Amino acid sequence: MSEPVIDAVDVVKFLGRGAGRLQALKGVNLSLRGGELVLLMGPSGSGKTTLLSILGCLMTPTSGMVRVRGRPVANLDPEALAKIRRDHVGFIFQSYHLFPTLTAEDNVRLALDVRGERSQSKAARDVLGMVGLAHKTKAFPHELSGGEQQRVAIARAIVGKASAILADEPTGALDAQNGQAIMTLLAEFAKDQSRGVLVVTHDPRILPFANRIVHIEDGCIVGEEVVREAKRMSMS
Amino acid sequence: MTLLKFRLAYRNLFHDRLRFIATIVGIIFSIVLVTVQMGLYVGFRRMVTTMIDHSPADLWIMPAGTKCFEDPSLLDDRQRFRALAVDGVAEAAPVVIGYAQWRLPGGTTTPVFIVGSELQGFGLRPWSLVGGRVDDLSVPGAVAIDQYYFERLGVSEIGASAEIRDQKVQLMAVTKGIRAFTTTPYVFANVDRARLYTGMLPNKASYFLVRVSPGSEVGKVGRQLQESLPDVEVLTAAGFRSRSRNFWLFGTGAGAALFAGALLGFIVGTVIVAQTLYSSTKDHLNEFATLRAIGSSGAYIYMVIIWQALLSAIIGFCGAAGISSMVVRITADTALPIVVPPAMLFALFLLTVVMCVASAIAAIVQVMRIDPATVLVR
Repeated sequence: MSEPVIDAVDVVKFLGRGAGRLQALKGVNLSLRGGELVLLMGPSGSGKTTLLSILGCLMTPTSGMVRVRGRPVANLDPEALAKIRRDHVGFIFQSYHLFPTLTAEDNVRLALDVRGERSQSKAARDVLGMVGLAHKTKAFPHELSGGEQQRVAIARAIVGKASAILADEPTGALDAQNGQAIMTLLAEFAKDQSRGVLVVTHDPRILPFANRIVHIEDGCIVGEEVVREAKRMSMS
Repeated sequence: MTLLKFRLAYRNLFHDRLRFIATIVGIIFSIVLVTVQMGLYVGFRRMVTTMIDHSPADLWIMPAGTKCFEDPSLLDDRQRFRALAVDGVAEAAPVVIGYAQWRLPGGTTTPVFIVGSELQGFGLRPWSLVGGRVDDLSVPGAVAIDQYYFERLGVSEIGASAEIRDQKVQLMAVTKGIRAFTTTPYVFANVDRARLYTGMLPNKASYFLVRVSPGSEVGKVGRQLQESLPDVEVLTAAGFRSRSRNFWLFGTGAGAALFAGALLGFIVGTVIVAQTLYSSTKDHLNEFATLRAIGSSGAYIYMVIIWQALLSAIIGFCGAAGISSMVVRITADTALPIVVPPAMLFALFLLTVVMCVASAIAAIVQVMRIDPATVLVR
C-alpha cells in the first residue's frame, strides 16, 4: 500500500469563541494515500469542510497532528503553511473561484506562478488539453460553462503536480453529465500512486468513482468503507 | 517579477473603469497641485535672487542687517575706499538701488525700482538685452527696462522718453525676462543717474560689489574686509543669496504657504489612491483569498497590490506632467513663472510613486487579515 500523502491523527478543532465556541472535530483520524480517491461524506455541519481545511493546511488543529508527506505541520506560521499548500496541495472548490479577469490559461498559470516556476504557458496549455479545454485556453471564465470552469479549476489544481487534490463539492454546481466528466478526470488523476484525491461531497452519483468512502457525523468519523473494483463497476 | 502578477494587477485595476478614471483624475490633480506649489516655490526662489545671480561680485558689502537685495539702506564712499585698501580686493563697485516714480508721457506715475551701477567694467549691468547695448546707457538719462513692462511704463521702443523724479529719461536698451516678483519694474541706469532718481547723495551707495584679485581666497578676503569694516556686513554671493531666499521664503511666510499647499496636495493624492486601492482590494478579496489558498506567499499578493499602486502612479504622473507642462508654458511670461526643472520633475515622479505605494498599505493590511479557509465556505 502507498504511503499516506496526508494523514490526520486525533485531530480536534474548536471554532469560535466564548458562548459561540463549538467543537467541530472530535478526535478525527484519517489518512489519504497515494493512488486512491476518497469520498468524505456526511450531513451539513458534520465537520467535513473543517476537516478538509485542516488536511489542506488552510487551518491548524486545536490539538492532534497533521502530516503532509510525513512532515508534521503543527505550529507552522501562515507563510510556512502556504508553502506546504503550494508544494503539495491542489484545491478544487464548489464555486470554482477562478479569477474573472484572467483567461483560462492564466488561471492555470497562477498555480505555477505562485511557485515561481517558469515555462508556465506550455504546462498550462498541456493541462488544459488534458481536461479537454485545449480550444478554450484564451477564454475568460464568463465565457465558459460551469463544467468548463470546473475543468479549469481542476487544471489549476493538478498543474503543479500536487501530492493531494482536495475537492470541496466539485460536482455540486454541475449537472449529471458534467459531474461524471469531472469525477472521471479526478479518478484518472488518482491512479497515480504518488497522488491522492479527497472529495467532500453529498452527491451519491459520484460514489462509483471512490476507492474508499469515509462517513463523518458530528465531528467524528463514524464509518469507512473500502469499495472493491467489482462493486465500483457494478455501481457505475 | 512575472508578467502574470503584473497582468493580474492591471486587470484588477482596469476592471472597474469608472473607479479607475476617478482615481487617475484624483492623482493628476493632486500632483498638479504639488507641481504648481513647488514650481512657484522654485520660480520664487530664483526670482528673489535674480540680481545676485547675475552680479559678477565675489563679495557684497552691505549695511548691517540687510535682509535682501531690495532692502535699501546706505553705505558711504569712505567704506569703499577702506575696502579697496584691503589685500586681495581688486575692485569695489558701488550699486545704488531704490524706489522711484516713473512719470508716463500722459502725466500719470507708476513706481519703479532703480538699479544703478557702473556700466563700464565691473558692475551690476542689465543682461539678456534684446535691444540697444549696455554702452548706450552711458548717455545721460539713458535707462534700460524689460520689454515685459513696455505697456505699463508707457513706452514701446528704444528712444522713447519718460521722467523719473523730474529727470528726463530715455529708453536706450531693452531686456527680456528680467522681471521682479514684487511686480515693480526694474530700471537699470548709470550709478550717478540712479542716485539722482532715488534722491541719494553722491557719496552714498546701497552696496559695494567686490571682485577679489586673482589668486586670492574669497573667504579670507571676506574675513579681512569684515575686520576692516566692522560696521557693515560682508557676504559672499552665495551667502547673500541664501539670506535673501530665507527672508522672502521663510521670513515672510510665503515659502511656508507654498509648502503647505504642496503637502495638502500630497495628502489628498494619498487618500484618493488609498481609498481606491482599498475598495479595489475589498472587491477582489475572494480572489486574494483564493491566491492564498493555492499557496501564494504574502509577498506575492503584496506585489500584486503594489503593482496596482505603481500603475496608478505612472499613469497619473504622465497626465499630471502633461497638464503641468502646459501650466509652466502659460506662466512662463508672467511676473511669477512656475519653474519645473528636470530634477524636480524626477522628484515629483518619485513622490507620486511614494504616495501611491504608501496608499497601498491600507489594502495590504486588509489582505494580511484574509483567512484562506474562507474560500471553502463561499
